[in-house]
Amino acid sequence: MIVGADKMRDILHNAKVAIVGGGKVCEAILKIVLGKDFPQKIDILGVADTNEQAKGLVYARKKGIFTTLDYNDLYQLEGLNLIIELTGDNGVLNQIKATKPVDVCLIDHFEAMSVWDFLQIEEERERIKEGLRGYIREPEEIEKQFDLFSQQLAKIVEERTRHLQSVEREIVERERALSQIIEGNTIPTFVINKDHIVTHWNRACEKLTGCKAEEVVGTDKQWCPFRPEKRPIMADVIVDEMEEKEIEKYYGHSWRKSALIEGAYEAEEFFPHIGEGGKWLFFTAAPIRDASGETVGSIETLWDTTERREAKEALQRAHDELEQKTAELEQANMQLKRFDELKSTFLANMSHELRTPLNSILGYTDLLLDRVDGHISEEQEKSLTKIHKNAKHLLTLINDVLDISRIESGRMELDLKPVNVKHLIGETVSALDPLIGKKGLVLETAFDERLPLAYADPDRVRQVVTNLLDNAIKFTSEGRITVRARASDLGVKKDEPPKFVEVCISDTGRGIRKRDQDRLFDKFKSLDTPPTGQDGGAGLGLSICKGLVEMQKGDIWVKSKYGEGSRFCFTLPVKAEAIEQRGESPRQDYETVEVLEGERAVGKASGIQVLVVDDEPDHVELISKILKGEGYRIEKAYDGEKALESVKHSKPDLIILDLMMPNVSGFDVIDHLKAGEDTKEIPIIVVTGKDLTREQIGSLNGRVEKILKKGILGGEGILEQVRSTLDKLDVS
Amino acid sequence: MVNNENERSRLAKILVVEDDQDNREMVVKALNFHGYQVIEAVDGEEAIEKARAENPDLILLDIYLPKMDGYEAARRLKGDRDLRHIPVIALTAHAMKGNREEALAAGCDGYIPKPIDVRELPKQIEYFLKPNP
Repeated sequence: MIVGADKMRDILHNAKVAIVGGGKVCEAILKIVLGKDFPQKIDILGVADTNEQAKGLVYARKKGIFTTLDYNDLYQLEGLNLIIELTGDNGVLNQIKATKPVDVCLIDHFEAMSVWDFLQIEEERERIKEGLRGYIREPEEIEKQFDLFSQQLAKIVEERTRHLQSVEREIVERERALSQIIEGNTIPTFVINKDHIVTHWNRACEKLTGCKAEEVVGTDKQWCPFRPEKRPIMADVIVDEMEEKEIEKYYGHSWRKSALIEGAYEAEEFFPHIGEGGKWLFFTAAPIRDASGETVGSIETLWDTTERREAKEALQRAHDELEQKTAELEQANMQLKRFDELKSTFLANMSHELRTPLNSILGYTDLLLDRVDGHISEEQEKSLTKIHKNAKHLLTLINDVLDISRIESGRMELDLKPVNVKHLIGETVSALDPLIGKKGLVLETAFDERLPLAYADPDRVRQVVTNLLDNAIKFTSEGRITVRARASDLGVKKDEPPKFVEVCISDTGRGIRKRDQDRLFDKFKSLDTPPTGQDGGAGLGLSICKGLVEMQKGDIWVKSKYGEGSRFCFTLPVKAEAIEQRGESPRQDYETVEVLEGERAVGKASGIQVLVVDDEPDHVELISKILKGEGYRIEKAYDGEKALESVKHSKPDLIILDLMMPNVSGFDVIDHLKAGEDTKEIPIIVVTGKDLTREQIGSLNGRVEKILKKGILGGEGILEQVRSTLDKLDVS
Repeated sequence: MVNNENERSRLAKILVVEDDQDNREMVVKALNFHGYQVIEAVDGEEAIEKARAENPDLILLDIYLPKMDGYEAARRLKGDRDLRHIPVIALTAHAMKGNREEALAAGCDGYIPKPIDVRELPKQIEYFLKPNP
């Protein structure tokens, strides 16, 4: 209700007024209305204010007007027909609207501004009028003039009033908009004023707390949904500008200053009385400040963090559970490792246990076949040969199964070192010579002239070659078998050294059908084309080959055409250092090793010169190392020709000589040395990787001091042999 | 078959240490056949006793033995001033790679991988027999 001056005069005429809100405006109104010259008949029946010391209230009391701390008392005043509300508090206004007697008119705090203006004008007018009367001679004329003037003044005042009212309307609109902003917000929000009275309590807040706006707006019961008894909540803390110590009284250490809003505080707590079974709330209270920076209220927002908390807790639980599971898994893993070790030990024991009786079977069969126990008949010999063959087969099977299980469990140990593939193939081929001869096959070997050393485990490479050769012999009834080794151009750019040695074993056997080729390297495969006769085996050979080759970082594959033969190839890596060690050029074939200085060199053997000759660098290194440690002076030669050169260059006290060497063999070297006047007395110890024929032994008889077999001698064994030879010859 | 050995070898005395009776008897039989004199022991302890009492020319020592295993027996034999001159050949299991190294580390002069080939055995033994003075 926005009213002009005339309207106001009507309203206030004979009014019996009660004022709610006893502040300065109330005091001013009282002063005007109670002024002795105030023309209007306005009775002020009573004033209410919650603050006993409010200025208007004190003034009213002094003037004998009824005063109260509860505006409800004002309703009892006799003849009351107008309430002027001056609190500026919408909550209070709403309360009055709801509770006042029906015939009492209400002027709210906005409209009260009009009352104030009106009263001021009225008072001023009367005062001027009175003042003028005494001075002016033609009072009537002047009074007329004055009336005119005062009418104009009234017009101006009215315009001003109207302007003010439009401003007020704007304020009202803004207040309404603000209310809607708060109301329309989905975040639970409430606002209190500087007197801790709730002015806003939005729908979201109602929904969260279960507390209706009309229950709390206009009261200071904002604590009600949150706490079992009255105590300041965060918004109150802000309005009261509490010291930190005091805040701790209510919130302990769970509160903190907001990082987002200056002057705001926040905290998170569990509220057992909110919702079903309580809720976790995160709440922020921010100060509302006037232009001068004074805190005049607080806005508090609430976040329901229950779900987040629960999710977090669930996450924590899951995390804990996971940790427990991990621990369990680790334990299980450790147990598994123990089992694995047990299995490994079991395997070793089992292998021993299985071999021991087989060893007996094979051995006794051999002894019987050798007529150790006397004569046997032809039939008996046949039977014994069958026992022997089958026992051998069983031994192979056991070895294969053990190999496969070791490869699969990663327990196959490799002894990687530079390997002369040509030499190794030569050895393997000669071991299988009798078999090949028996079947009337032709075996050819072909090697690259400059074949790099492979980096592999010689025993395992031998196993692979033997297996592939065995197969080739087994499945070829006529024709030829070719073993070829070359430097692979796989992955090699121009002018780069080779990265792999490739070995291929081809046969003219019956070949393998295409559909069988893919499964050839699988375990326990059964081919569509079953192997004939007794050559089956457990089918583990090729999968062992594949496992062994792959463990040595090589590859294995097959090419075959059914009816025309097969070609099995595998590669072995070449180690860069290994090539350099025995470099392509310049090739150092022998060297003189300096006498070691210091204590070690002062052995009894110091000064004795030994020439070690072998095309296997490994053997040369091994023997040299052992002898060097004892103080011998070592010269090395990697083939027969270089050995003879070396002898010419410097005559050794002893030669340790390998027999199987390309070009100039050990036999040739012996022939040369024994033919030379200067060299025929040099003692020679022969070292050989294969068994010698009776003829060969005979040819060496009397010309060499000793024949040693490679592979069964330990370091000390060699040393002992060298020593005893030299002792015998009285060289030392 | 090595039948043309000289007198020295025929008279050589070999101590065979092996716990499996069948295998032991087999080796003994083979060696006897080739003219060696053979004595037997079934475990490490007995091996050392027999070595001391009989002064053999060579010892064939199995690795898996009851009471005292082959490694320990080899260490003791090689640690004994009176016995260390006797060549000790370990009988190692083919399957276990570590056996060889461990046998040599324990002081064995050489090794023969199992299973023993009775036809090869005399030749292998000859490499280790010391020449007569």
